[in-house]
Amino acid sequence: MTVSGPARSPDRPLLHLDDLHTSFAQGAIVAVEGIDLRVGAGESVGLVGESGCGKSAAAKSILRLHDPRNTRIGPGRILFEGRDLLQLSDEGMRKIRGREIAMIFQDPMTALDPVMTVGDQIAECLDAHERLSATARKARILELMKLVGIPSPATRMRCYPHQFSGGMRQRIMIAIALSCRPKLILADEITTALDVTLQAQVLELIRSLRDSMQLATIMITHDLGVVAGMTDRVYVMYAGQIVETAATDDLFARPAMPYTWGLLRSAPDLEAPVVERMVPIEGMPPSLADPPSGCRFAPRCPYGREICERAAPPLAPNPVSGPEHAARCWGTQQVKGGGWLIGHDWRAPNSDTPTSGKAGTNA
Amino acid sequence: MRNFYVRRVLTALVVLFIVSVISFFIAFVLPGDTATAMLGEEGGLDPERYAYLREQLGLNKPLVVRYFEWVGGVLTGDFGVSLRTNEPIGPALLRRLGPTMQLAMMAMVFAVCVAIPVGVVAAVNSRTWVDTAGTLLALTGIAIPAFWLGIMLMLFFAVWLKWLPPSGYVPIWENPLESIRLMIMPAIALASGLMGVIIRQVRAAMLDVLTEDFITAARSKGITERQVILRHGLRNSLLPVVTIIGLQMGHVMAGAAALEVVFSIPGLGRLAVDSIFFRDFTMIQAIMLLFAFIVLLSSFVTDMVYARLDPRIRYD
Repeated sequence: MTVSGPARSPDRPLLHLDDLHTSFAQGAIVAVEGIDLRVGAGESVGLVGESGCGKSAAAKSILRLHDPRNTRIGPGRILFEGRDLLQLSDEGMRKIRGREIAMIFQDPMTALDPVMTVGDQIAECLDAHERLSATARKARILELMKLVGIPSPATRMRCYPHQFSGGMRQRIMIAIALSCRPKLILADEITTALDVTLQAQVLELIRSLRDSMQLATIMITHDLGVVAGMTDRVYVMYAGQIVETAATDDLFARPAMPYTWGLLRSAPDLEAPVVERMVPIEGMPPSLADPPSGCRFAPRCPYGREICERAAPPLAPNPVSGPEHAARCWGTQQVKGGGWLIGHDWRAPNSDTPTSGKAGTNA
Repeated sequence: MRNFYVRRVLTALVVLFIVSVISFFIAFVLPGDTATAMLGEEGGLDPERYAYLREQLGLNKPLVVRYFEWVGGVLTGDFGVSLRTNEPIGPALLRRLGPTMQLAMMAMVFAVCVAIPVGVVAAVNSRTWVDTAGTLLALTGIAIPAFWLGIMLMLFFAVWLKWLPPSGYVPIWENPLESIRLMIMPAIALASGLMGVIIRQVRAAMLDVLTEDFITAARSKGITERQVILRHGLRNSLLPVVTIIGLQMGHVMAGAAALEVVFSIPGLGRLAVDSIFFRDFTMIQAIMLLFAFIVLLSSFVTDMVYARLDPRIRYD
């Protein structure tokens, strides 16, 4: 399932979010709080979490796509090839967008301009960064459309978005993102708006393009199924923070903390009997304007103990796996009053609070 | 597409029929008739002359008969003869149409050229003093009566500064420069209300469009902010604005009448006002029909422009 490529933790990653903070409404809502995330050249990384956990906000911060009037990005650094993107001027940032880092958006129905032909929308990105002759430009558009699997591109390039199906539009979005051969692609929930068969097709397309073009990708999703086949490493986000990170194989083999367990349980499992396939995580994510003082997941956590409410746990290596596997959970950390979840099998019944361990009982 | 044209033309014909009925019969609800008006105060006292004139003018025939005689004439291009001047109405209307169309077109151009940039800038700088200034300009434009603004402009630029001739009209083919100079003030006065409406519309549409996903997506491509706003924002915002401009055509024609009086422009509006005072019924009927035709035509053109701007719209 892993993608062959450069080493997993290169010394100088392609992208390094260093203690990044992003806040809205004059700092009243902290959507991203001290994220540390690395992506190596050609590496594929997953960023997973529920809606509103801050994963899209983090991705948009990288390209500075938030409304500058009510958004503050920082403190923290966004290092791309060693340069801090936060120090760039607007014009400097413009040159990064599309050319170095491109983004594919969630909903292909709304992310294309309805009154512009798709050929023009692909060309727009090219024109912003390269000087091409009319023939070279057209050849490039046709090549890109062919690359993402759009039949008869010569006639389709003159069509408008409404003349395409959802899956075809997402392919156009991918063609736009690839047009200037960026080094990194941010794929924000790219399969969410598509039906299951199209999801598989689009993921397969991304995978083959990534391998052939040496692209680094950040797959932003709430769906662990997408992460499983597509990424080398995973970051799990909750309420603006990273709560667990590990190599993809390791995360699925030995998920460390209860939030990740909850995500795994709530993913559809076609092998299990219908009644037990999905177990939602109880409760709602906390308000980012007023997060809990201890562990942010504590109010929803069936394994919580006294220490969880009292103090916020750090993101620390999980003793069971290697140092690359870290979790933000007192249950996995060898401190006074903690460590009760070390080695706990997430499928096993929850001995602490039997009533909420229903999912484990029949597993 | 052809079906759409056919349907549009048929509805337009129904509207024109209704307008013709209303404009014909409304004249007879008013007290007094043309004969009274022609004879004046003293002449009206002579019943014999009055009866003779009514017979001459055909005012004694039943209304329905007169209506069909009139419609029959209109369909063959004969609008009848003006009761006031005794000249054929068709050529008179044609002569008066030029100045009114020039005034309306210049006003449209002024309004659009000012309102679209102001609306865009206001939306892009929403909730700053720039936006407030734009809103103030828009509301002022809407609130000030056009005739009063016309008089003030005349006072300021013609009487005090002497930059522009105060009033009058020269056909554009005789002396283009002078014709435009004469028309600047009335056109600005007429444009003010329209400008206000368009500013509000552009600003609202733009604010709406700027929150769309495709705007963020466009930004992520690395095009300049200017391109994002003009190419993607404005183009999408113009769709509702075009509709508003089309709908305002009727108001512009009505407003033109007042300004033609203020600035002594021999246009349709002034002809309408004069004809009403004189109870020149044949003329009033023809003018009402012509106004209705112009409004229908402009809404038709609006639909065409709309279809050009929005590829999702296909009339069928």
